[in-house]
Amino acid sequence: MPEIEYFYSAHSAYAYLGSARFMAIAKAAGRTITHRPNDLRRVVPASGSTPFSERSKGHYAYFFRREIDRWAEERNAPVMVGRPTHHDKDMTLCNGMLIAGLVQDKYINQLTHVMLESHWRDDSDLADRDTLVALARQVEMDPEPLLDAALSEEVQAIYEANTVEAIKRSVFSSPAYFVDGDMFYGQDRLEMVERALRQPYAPS
Amino acid sequence: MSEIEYFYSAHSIFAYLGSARIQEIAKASGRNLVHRPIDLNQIVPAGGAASFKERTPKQRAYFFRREIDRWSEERNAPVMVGYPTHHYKDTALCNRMVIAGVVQGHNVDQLSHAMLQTHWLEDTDLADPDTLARLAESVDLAPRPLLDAAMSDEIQAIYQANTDEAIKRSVFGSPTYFVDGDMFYGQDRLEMVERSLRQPYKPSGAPNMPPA
Repeated sequence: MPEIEYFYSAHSAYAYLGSARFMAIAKAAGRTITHRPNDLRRVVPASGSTPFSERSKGHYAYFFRREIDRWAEERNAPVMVGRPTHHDKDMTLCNGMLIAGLVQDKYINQLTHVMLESHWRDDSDLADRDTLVALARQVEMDPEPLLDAALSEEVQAIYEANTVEAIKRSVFSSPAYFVDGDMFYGQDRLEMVERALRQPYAPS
Repeated sequence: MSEIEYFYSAHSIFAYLGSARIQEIAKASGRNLVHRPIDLNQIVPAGGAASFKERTPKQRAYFFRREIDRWSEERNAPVMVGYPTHHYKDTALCNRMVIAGVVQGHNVDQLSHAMLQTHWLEDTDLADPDTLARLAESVDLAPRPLLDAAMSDEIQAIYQANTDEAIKRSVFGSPTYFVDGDMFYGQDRLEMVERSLRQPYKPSGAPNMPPA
């Protein structure tokens, strides 16, 4: 089956806001989603974007509050008040757990979605093993095999490869979608992803 | 009449790609489109974004080629092959000519559109008075009064006031639209502009600042 490649991190606000819509688009198009969780702490600086610490208050007010709120309304994806408490923790475990699911041939769409949603709606701590256990159970997956493999060399090598590939393809941040090589950066491009699946855009 | 404020520069690619659509949206909603041309050379650094020169080749390939081409197709707004020859000239004259039109009580929608479109489709030089005269005539405006006023202190002061106001409101670039105080940055937000004219989005709380 043809695919749509999906580069993101399990704690990303905009991946959350587009998550349900993206899965609906892929399903309607009959395409498999190829999940490629990656390490945003490396991808964002490599893209040449201004580091988060150097961005202005106006930038935060617009891109990390007003845009989130309007898109939450637009996508019917509710968000918590304020910034998730555990947002700046290391996301290796949750992203590794998703990759472990792939390695173990599981269908991980729902697990991804509940990670994103619970982090941005319910303030869940995606670096906490018990939280991840509860989320996996919520989508009827056995947590232990996934968590046991999440930090293994095999899974971490894939995490690294996804990160390197994202940098190589100039992914700027999360989420980015690839339809037959055409990159769409940001969940605000999902309507264009949908259109590209029906009718590719002319080459540049 | 209630309004939509429109901050842009007359040579801006994304203002061009959204130009026909914003005018159509404004008309359909019965709102007046308030043109506020700004000096992008002052705006972009103030927003905290990297300057154009500092952007990487990959950023340029995506944002200034692939995005332009796809949106051009999406908006049915054709663009020339390559980069406009005169794109880095001083844009004060064309922007101030649009402001002069506003001050003299004209509807400048067509003039603004003609500048944007010809710059990106026909490679026009928007720093050239003869080109601007021809563009004004093409939309049935007398060029002389507009060009004469464009260089006046009065118009210069409005151009600077627009730019200062844009910086104050943290406009990041061109185009930016305001609907009753709610800012929408980029022509890719025009469908949200349209929605907010029917039904405003709910207000937001304080910004999510990262830990220091």
